[in-house]
Amino acid sequence: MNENLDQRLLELLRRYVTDPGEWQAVLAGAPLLASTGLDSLSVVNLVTEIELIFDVRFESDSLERTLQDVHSLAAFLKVAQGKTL
Amino acid sequence: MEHKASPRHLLALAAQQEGGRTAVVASGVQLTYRQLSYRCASLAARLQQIGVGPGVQVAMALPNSLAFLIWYFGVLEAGGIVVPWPADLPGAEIAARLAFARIPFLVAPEQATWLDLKLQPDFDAVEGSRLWQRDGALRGLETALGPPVGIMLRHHSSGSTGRPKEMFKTEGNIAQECQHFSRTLGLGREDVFLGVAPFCHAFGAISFLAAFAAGGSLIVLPRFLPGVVLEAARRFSPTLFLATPPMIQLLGSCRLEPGDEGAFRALRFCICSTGSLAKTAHDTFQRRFGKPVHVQYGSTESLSATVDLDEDYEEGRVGRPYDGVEVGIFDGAGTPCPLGQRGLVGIRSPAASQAYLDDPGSTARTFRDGFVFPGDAGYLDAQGRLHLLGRFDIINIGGYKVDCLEVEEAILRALPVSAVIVTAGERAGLPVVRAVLEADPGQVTRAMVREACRSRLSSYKVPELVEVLSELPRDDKGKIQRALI
Repeated sequence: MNENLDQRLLELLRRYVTDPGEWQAVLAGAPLLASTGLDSLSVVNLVTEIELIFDVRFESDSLERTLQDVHSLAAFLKVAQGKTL
Repeated sequence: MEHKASPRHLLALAAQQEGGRTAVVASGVQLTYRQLSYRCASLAARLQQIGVGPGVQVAMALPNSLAFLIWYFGVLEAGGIVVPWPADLPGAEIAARLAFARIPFLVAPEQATWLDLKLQPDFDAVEGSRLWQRDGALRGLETALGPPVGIMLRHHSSGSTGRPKEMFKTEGNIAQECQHFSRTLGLGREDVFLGVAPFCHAFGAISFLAAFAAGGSLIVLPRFLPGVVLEAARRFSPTLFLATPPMIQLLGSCRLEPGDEGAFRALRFCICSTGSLAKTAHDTFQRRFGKPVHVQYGSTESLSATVDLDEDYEEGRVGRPYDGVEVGIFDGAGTPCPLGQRGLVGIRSPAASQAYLDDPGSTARTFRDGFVFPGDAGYLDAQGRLHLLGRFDIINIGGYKVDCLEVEEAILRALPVSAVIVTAGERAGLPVVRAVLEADPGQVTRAMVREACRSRLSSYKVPELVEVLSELPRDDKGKIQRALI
């Protein structure tokens, strides 16, 4: 994943994870959903924003795996963006 | 067509009349009415063998899925009472509810190993879900609730009339709900229903109840993601879509792929409920997909009460009553108001509950003179259409109602806090729950508040924004000044 993508993803996630402690845990690779307690509506909004910004589409069946942590999310975006190029 | 049988035997009758037609498509599995009915009847027979029958409650904490439908109608066919709960209910809350309501059985995902319950050994997994039994629980409705004749559902209100409450729904209530919804919208066997609103809630349940009552087909989606909904809509061409306001808003603003604009080309009705839909959200959806959104009004207590089928969208207007439903406006003394005058909204409907369980105080406030009073203010216009004017004590988080008092009580009970105020806040442009506490910041932290709420409340009720202040602003009488918070 290039630097630009990394930065955009982190800026987006930072808007949803407002607690400094939780944010540090996310950066360290903690489970994205379990460690932040994002409610279901926030998750849907986050996914929708990611889809818009990175021009990708998530799949329902693999959502938990994709959102496992910040690294799995970045890896998904890299692969998905590669497909759309 | 419209089946007249009890909702308890909806699938059995539909199988007789629509046997070979597609009843449901879920996660790549497609079942005809005959196949679905067979699976439910088989499960019902096994449930009866372990004692599930009239008055026996079976709780379900499952997402929208084929499993949900099989268990739901299996329990009903066995004669039991379905108690539908959100799939993401915390384990501690599930345990508390099971014990409080003396519910002997719970259906949960197979991997729910956190449950302190005994797995029912006689039952194999049903589409990834299992039956659990509360240790030592008697089999039966163990409360003094009176004879369980006709009771079909035990519904948990998300709090649209204040703090969360429970109520029963009878076969007659649900039959009426199916009938007036189907009749008003003219539903039939050619209709395809998109089932994405949570089935555990009264509004989401209309998707499958009305679909099966009409002999139509149901497309089940386990969760709402705009892209997934659009792909399903392109593939299955739904004619009826029950949505919440956030769904409409997100579908109007999400990323589109080629062909998505025509995804709802076959749609006859997009019915939106559970909260206020902004005109901008409505108009954006209509511009994008070429279909209007029709707002429905109701509550868990009343079930669906009104729907606005007019084409000119007006924010706050929720339309005319469904067939058989009466809506009145009343002043503070309970006297009916004339058209145009503002007052409290009252709903009289054969689909309405008659009381809350074990809560006579709330029952007396909400159920009066044959009407349900959800707590909303409004008025009726000259065309008999209801307009809502809102309320202030409930926060609406994506269609889920959060009672501020419930969250405040959870915090006060869990932590050394002298006062707490819960209000609506905003994060990333979204409404969230905000808690402002009066406590020693050295003793109470944001993380502690969130953890205390997580273990006691559904996830959408957990405050996203928490501020701990050593003193809340108070007036000279010591009263907290909410306006300054």
